[in-house]
Amino acid sequence: MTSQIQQAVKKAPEVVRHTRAKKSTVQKNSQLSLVPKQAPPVVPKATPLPVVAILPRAAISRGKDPYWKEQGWQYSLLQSLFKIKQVYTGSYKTPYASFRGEIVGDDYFIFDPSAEILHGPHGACFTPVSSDNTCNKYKIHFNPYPSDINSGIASVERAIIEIYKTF
Amino acid sequence: MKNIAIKVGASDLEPIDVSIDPGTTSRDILEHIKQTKNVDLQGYALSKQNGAEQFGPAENVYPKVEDGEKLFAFKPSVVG
Repeated sequence: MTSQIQQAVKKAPEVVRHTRAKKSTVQKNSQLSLVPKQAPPVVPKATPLPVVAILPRAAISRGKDPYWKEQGWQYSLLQSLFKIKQVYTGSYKTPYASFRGEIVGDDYFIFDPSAEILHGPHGACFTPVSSDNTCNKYKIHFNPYPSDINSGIASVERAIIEIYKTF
Repeated sequence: MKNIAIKVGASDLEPIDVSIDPGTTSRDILEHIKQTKNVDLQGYALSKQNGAEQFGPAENVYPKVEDGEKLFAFKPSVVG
């Protein structure tokens, strides 16, 4: 009997007491890890794209001015008041030469015309405004007469070109 | 084909765009403007700026203008 009890005691399972692992041991175990620690991959910072404002295309509007304005002529209000006629001042522009001009009512004038103009094919169309003509101002004759100053300015410009082409 | 703009010299209206093919005359252009834009330019003549060339009614405009050029429509008058 005693032997049976002794055998039973022998066969009794051993009691294993589980103890919490100390922090130090955990750290030691982690240090022993075979996989080397890797630095986290460096993610390059995204460079911001330049901001380009996409605006709707706006076409530049074309000039609506009548020809006399486009050619740089000016309406002279003060002279118009004195002369009681519409007065415009400017210059007849051509690729060959430009000449100062004046339009008073229906009369067209040119200042300091060149010898080519005075002695050219249209020479008779330019008459001095006075006998002494100290201001070197000449009246221009038309046939047919211009219906408006735009037509008149363009006609004088065209005549100047014709004159210079003949020389 | 060339695209040109026609500015009525005496008006303050925006230039009128027209497309021309070889052989298009000044008269064709003015007639086209009358029909499509309802702007009657009878008795007008087309010319370039700064006194340059003035086109006769039956003159072929196409070879004498550049694409995008602006022409002026004037009532013709002559120094004389």
